[in-house]
Amino acid sequence: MTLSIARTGELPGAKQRTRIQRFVGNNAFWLLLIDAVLVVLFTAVSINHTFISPANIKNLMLDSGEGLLLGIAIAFLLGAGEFDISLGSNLILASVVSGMLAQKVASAGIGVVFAVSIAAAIVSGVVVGAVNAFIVTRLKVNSLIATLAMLGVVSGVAYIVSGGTDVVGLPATLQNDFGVATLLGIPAPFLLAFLAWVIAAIVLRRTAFGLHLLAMGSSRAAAERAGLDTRRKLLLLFMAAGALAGMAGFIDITRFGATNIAGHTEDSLSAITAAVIGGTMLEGGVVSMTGLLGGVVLAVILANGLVVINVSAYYQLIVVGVILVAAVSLDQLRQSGGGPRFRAR
Amino acid sequence: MSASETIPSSTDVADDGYVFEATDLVKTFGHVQATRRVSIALRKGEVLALFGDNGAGKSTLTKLLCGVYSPDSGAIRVGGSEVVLRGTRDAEAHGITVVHQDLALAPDLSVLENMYLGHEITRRGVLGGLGFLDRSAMAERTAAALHKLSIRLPSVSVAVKDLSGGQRQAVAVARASLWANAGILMDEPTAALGTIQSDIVCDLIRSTAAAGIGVMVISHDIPRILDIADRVIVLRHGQIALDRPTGSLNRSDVVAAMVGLTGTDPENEEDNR
Repeated sequence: MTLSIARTGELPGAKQRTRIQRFVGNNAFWLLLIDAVLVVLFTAVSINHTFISPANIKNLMLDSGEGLLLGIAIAFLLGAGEFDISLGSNLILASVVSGMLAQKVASAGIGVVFAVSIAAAIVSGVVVGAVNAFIVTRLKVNSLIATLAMLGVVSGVAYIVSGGTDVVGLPATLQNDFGVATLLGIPAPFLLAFLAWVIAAIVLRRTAFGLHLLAMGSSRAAAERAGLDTRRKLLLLFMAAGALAGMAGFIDITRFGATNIAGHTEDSLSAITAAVIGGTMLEGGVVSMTGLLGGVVLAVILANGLVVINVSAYYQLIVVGVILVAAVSLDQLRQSGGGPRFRAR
Repeated sequence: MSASETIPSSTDVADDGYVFEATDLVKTFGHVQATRRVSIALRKGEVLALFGDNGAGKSTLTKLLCGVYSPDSGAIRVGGSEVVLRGTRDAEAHGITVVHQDLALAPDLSVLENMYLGHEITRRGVLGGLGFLDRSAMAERTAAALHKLSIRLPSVSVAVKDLSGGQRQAVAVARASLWANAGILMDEPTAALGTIQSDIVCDLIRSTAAAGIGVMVISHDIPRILDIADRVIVLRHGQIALDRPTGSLNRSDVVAAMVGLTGTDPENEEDNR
């Protein structure tokens, strides 16, 4: 006999929803709308519309780069059902290691300075990521606790290695040829971060690895029963997150010509905020890369815009907090509202 | 099966019409003998019902057959030759797939993604080497597999969490039948379902068997499973108390065997009061 599962009427209208309707129904859409409204608002209020001036747009991009890199790392980990709150201190250590080694080879050619500096930052980041993965997969410590511990450990190591003071006097080429350099008018650090975002989005949507990480976050048991090597994939994920934090550390020293060891410990939390506002689920299994971009940009637009219109930038912290609560409660509402839910996936 | 290049193949062994033949399986935990010299065989294309009270050894037997436990003694043969199953992956490679009670589907992934999880089809060439998925090929084959089992879903891109319990069970069975080329063991397939949904799953079990796959159903839902089973095995105290074609068996025959009022049970008296 032929049986029709749809006959039971469990999926009202699932077929009728169009792509556009689905997009309107998810957080990423509303977030991008808020971003757009804020841009219009700040442009209108700022004197001579300086908010939208080329120079300020460059600032916005520069301020987004590091957050975007950390956001990619956190979105992937959250998607797989894991946390990493050590990304900020990972960034700091990477910038210290990278900066000190760059000083050592300052007299060598520009190529050597860049190669050493980038490699040092990424290796440092990957090592920290691998330690995180070891604690999570081998010692079976929950990743929130593991990376909370590593947040302290790595910060401590960074302070000890740097002697507690910022590494200054870095080779000028780092700043001139990358940190403040532009390509087609776009700041090089942002271009690097944006490229990473594009690659990450493709990996997430198009490759088996992306599917596997979402499966692990959605149901670890299902992923394991399907024969996935979850331990190996977690190791890869934490190391990739570390590499991204290392790249962010590299960007940090190239922008300012010095490390900022006191300034990044909360970066992981900002990255989590950006991802979650954008519709990435804390419970795992759902990641929105578009939403992540919107979330990172939101914080930057607010911080910058408030200064431009002469309001204390501290209000940014309040507004982002309120939007975070609103975004998550919107999700809850949608879930308890019954019927099929459609998210950006 | 159309997805022949990606499924573990057991076509190189002789097809003797059996999914597996297990003889004299013994498994002991401490001084509890969970199974005592159990011999059980599953034929391709049949529905075999496995009944038994709690603690009768059903779940131990199932775990022995899918490689989660290894037997203390006894042998499992697939295609006439003895095999050692060190895990569900081994069992799958020998054509024995398990559908668990809790379904083992990832709720946030779509039907399509769940069907191919761990067995993805990648693109040809360089992109394939990088792990790029061939979604259209997977969608085509998923649709074909669902069609073969007469399962209709609005779309294969619906997330599993947006399906009803019966639909999820149907997808889990479809997933198993896609990767099983010989047999499926189903643990309580109707346990969490309502009447209509249970009927749907039962129809699905029949159509899976009709496609030439052996299905062993472990269940407490005696009347419903009796209706669709070709053969019934009842376990009691880790031994087979009844092994018969369904024929004229009715519920009370099965229950009688379960509690030891009939059949062969060497130590039948002490807990039949």
